[in-house]
Amino acid sequence: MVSILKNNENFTPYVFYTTFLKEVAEDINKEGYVIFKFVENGDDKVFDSSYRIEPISIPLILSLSEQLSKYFKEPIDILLYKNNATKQVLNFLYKSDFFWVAGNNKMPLYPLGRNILKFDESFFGDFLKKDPRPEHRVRCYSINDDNLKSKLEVFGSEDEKRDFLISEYVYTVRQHFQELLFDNSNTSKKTDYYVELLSELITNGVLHSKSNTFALMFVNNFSTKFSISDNGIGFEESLKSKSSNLLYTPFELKRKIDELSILKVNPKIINNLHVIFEILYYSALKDRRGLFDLMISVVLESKGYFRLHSDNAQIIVSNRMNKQLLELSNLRDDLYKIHEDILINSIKDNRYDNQMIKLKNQIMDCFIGLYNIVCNKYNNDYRYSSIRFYNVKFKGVHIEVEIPNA
Amino acid sequence: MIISHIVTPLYNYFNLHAEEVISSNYLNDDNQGIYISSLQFETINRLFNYIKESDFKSQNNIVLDFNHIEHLQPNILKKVIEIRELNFKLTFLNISLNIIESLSLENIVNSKNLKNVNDGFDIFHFFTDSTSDLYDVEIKNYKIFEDEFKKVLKDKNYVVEYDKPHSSSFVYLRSFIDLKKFISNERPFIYYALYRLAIKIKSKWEIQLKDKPILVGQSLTSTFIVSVLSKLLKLDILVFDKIGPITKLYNKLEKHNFENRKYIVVSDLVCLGTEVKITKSLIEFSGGKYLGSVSLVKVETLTREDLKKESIHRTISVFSITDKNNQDLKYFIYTNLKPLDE
Repeated sequence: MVSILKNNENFTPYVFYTTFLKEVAEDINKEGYVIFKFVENGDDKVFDSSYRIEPISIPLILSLSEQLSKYFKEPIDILLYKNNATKQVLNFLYKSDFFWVAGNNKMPLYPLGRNILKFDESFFGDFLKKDPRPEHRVRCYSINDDNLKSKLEVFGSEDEKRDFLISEYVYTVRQHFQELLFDNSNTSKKTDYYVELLSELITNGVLHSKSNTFALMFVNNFSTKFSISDNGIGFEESLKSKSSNLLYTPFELKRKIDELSILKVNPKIINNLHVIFEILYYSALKDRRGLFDLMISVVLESKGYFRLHSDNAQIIVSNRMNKQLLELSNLRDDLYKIHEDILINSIKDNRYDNQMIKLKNQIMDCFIGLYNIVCNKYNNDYRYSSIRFYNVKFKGVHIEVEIPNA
Repeated sequence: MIISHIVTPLYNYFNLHAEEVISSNYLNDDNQGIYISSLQFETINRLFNYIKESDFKSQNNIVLDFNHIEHLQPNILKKVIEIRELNFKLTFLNISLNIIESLSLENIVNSKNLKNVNDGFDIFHFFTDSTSDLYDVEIKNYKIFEDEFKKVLKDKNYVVEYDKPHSSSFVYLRSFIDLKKFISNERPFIYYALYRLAIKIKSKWEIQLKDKPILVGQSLTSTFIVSVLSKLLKLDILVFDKIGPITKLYNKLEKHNFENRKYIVVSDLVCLGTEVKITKSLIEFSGGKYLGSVSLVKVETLTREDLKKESIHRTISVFSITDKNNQDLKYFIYTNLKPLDE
């Protein structure tokens, strides 16, 4: 049995990756199955315990529960407790729709249950009067909802499917989260942009995972945070399906940084980090705006944090990398302008080829430079590094964005 | 459903903001009304499919109006180019500074494209040809709409002449405008007209709209108008059934609390303004504040100098019958009095 919330410890995404995942893995190895215990002390020490959860960890818990429920082919049991110590956190989780999404609800007025957790519903009710903001809810997006699957069938190309899904999610996301964006002076000026950013991330998740993507946005006085989590095939698999073209050969950056061997970490785990670099590099070369551009604008324009986790590795992109990001962003803009000119003036000849290849090589060098800096810092002091490695693999792509309130 | 398609002799016109309002409010549940300012792929894709299946291929100019669009979903430029690849020459109207980069306009070199005072473009030809039918014509969206409205009224006989003099509010009418029929038959164009009306209301009462005034409908036709406007402007409605120069009011008003609330009276057609004045009196008598009136069509019986823009009695409408077009439309009001022989 694994307890989720520990006494006197805030359950943050960091705790999730470092401690919780490990405990779950150990428990499964030992018992062959897993049962979640909502809080460490259960009904004991109810006046001496306090439990807290960072709201943006909720999508991670749901995503993990979904993976486990798929693996064990049944919803995972979670033992609930309702007492003086848990009433606040239970109230928050219930009102943020956590249990509706995780349970087996079919009532159309409430979020559709994804049947990934099994719990005793008699613990719900007689909650505190205090209601969290109605926008602070966890949302689940799926390609199986709203007839999206058949709507997508009419589009031939993958890019068009993506564009269509983004626009569908823009309307939904605006309804779900727009109010929160007005509360942060950094995001309120560019709500359209942030709505789109979220839609793009959700679309990535939904398209890759072919099923559920969990998302939550939370605002307090200091910052706006959102967290998006899916159980998809991950970056490596999706890169395998890309074909070579003038600018890009699959895994070309990865091959180069594989050879550098700066880090003394298990090669299997390092591989995940290299794949993250590869996907950002791939996205920086493309003729359409995507993940790379999102990251750049979060960090450079909004002075925020962009944390990207996949399998065993995580990269935390922040303004500490400003210099390299600025250089990359300028190169990217130059390349993108050429892409646009080719599109708009229907250029079919190869007049830009040399210029584009030159830019591509510069972008690659810049990525290698960034990789070197990041790894050397990790070797100096891993605690303050922009990269993190975790022993337990957590499948899918998990993104957290944090934008400070100016 | 594309609501803003207007065919003119030289080009086909589409208003992208109007189409986006339909995508977001009617095809999706994003209830932003006309306050939405971002153009999405879904809208451009609908437009692309519509144009692809349409039969105006001989006509090779398309005018896309970007008025009120301040943001574009990334990567939709490709779809715009696909429209161009259906063999059309594209011209854009009302490009704001914010979207120049998204549309990548700097890649089109055409000396006819001149920036306006706000660093945007009133008109932007998305091609580089040295000659075009559109270079020397003035393209204004309100003019395109008004011409179309008049054309529909005329060509489809919505102005119906009475067999004998018809009295209304103590004047005689030669004909009446059958807006009930117009609204029933002219879909989706009527939605575009109502969209334009909503935009006009927003610009006239930008500040007052924050206090959420109530839209007042007072006949069956105006109730339809009110219901659409309420969705587009995100306002509540109140229906008086029914005030008019002929029928009387027969709904009770006691249930509604008027105190300190603001009201905009909505009609289908305002001729002499009798109904509007009756409704205004009722609202003010009950303690509410009257902001003004709006209608689809109004008859301008006074000159604009005599009924100033600021006047509370001046109705906002998307189409006016004035001394410039009443003869053409065969619309006339007269009295039994003889003109003086001066």
